[in-house]
Amino acid sequence: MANNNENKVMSAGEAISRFVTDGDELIIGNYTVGTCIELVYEICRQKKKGFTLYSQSGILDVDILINAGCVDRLVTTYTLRSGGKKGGGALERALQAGTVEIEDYTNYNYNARLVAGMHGFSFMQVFEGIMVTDLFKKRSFMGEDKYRVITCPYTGKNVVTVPAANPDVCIVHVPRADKYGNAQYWGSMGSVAAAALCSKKIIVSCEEIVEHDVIQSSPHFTIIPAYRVNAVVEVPWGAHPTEVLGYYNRDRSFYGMFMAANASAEGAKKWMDEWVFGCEDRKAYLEHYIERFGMAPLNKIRARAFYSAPANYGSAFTSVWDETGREQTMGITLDEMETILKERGLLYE
Amino acid sequence: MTGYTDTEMMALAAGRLIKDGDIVFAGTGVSMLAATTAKRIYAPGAVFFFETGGIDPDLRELPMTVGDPRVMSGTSINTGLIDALSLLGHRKLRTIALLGTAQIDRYGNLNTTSLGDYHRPATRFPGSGGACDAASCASGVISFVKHEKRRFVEKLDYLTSVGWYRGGDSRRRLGLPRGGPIAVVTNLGVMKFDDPTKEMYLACRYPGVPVETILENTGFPVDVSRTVEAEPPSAEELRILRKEVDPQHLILQ
Repeated sequence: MANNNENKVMSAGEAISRFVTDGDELIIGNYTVGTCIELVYEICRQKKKGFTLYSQSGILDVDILINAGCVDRLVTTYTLRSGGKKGGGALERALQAGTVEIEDYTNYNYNARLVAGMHGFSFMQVFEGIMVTDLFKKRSFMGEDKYRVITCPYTGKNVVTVPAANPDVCIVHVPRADKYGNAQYWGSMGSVAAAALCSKKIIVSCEEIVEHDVIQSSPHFTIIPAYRVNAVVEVPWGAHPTEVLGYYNRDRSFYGMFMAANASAEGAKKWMDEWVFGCEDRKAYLEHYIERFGMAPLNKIRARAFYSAPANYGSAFTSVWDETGREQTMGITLDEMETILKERGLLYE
Repeated sequence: MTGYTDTEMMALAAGRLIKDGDIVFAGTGVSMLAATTAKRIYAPGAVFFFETGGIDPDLRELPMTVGDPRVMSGTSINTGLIDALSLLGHRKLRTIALLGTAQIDRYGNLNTTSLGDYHRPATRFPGSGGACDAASCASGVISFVKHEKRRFVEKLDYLTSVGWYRGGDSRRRLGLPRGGPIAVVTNLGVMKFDDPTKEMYLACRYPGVPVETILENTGFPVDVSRTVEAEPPSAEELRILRKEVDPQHLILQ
């Protein structure tokens, strides 16, 4: 089990092989703003399979995992048509071939499942407008359990509910974390914290590992506490070609290259062989990228710094007792305080 | 048409519908362009927000996607999706959702999920994302769609987001006390919805576009008795759109 003060730093290879199992419910922690691409690649390289994949907004992650044959079932709200107009991409091909089953939710409904899961509830209420849509009516592997309608005990009205989600493992990329796993994230928060916290195991990859005192001076950025985290992987450019706020923008031309390739099964296979299976880790991937395109495209998308104003966590004193043993606000000692209380009959002995 | 493109006219037509004080939910593509245009020209006091959680960015530069740093740096608050959507449904705010769609019917119901059988689709589109949520709880929806017969259909292949449902007061009876489509902005004109039938009618056609062209490209009959010609873009509108909103022509072509 995860521990608060254990050094959990390891390679992506070790993290995936120790904590991800064939047939797992696997959730992508990131939502639309960048994604945990290196962890996704490593799952493909290790040929893990049989997943029920949760991805709220599949950008590259869903199509890459489907291309690698890792996915049996998909729970999503939105998966980018990453083959563009010419072809829908891996998801469309897999649905047409019947090799992947899908359940569609709305963003709110999907997110409600995670929130229910992280609180240990069995369900959560969602807006009833969903009932006439095909999201409600058309069901796949979840059947009756996709949505259930119950009577509200307070109003007597029908309300729609979604079941809690508690995936086996969450993979998520964040800007920074410490070696224990305290993971910090900022920008649009999406559903990142809930996706991690509703899961049984959590693998965090980060752009950089920072000292624990950096975390302590900015705890408002921490979204996942160390004691929930199983592995920490330091992987600069770990979300490339997607973006990480404060580190780099999306690599649009490389992204476009993937989309063009992913329009056909042959193109997708070639791309996977070159960029996923052909590179043993992120270091090799970056070396291959630089060999093909040089450093210029990466330098161009590096973030220029725009620092947030620091929050002042100071207080007037750290101990309520001064160096002479007097309480700081009233200026009296403990003995004097007890005497006063005794005189007023307020001291419990 | 001369002097401006379809995309420019669409961004301006949608931007003109946004007012100061509106809370506007925007997605990617033309809706992002319309949002940035509105903020620059028509409604500097409107608040734009993105379901990923970035609320009230200054929109000094056009964001390309909802994951773009420009959506979440220089904002007033960065929150999460559940909280952002609670704002969209707030009863006292006029909240407008800008949504793209693949198919639309005469009551403004939208399909962004798939064509053909859902389980074995002929074409798979991205899916709902937050569109169904926004269509359910915003106080109004402006949708964008290319004006083609295969997109303006009698019957949707999949109902992703509820508009006026089956017309009349059918939306209210679903338990959706407010909201509904306000306008559909296409590359040929702007459609609005009749009271009390809630059927789509042609409110305006863009300069130089014959009504017949619009009818030919709509898969169901629409009332054109009140159609007017839209104001062409002014030189100032075009200058701001081209020089300030999208100087690199990232979305404008």
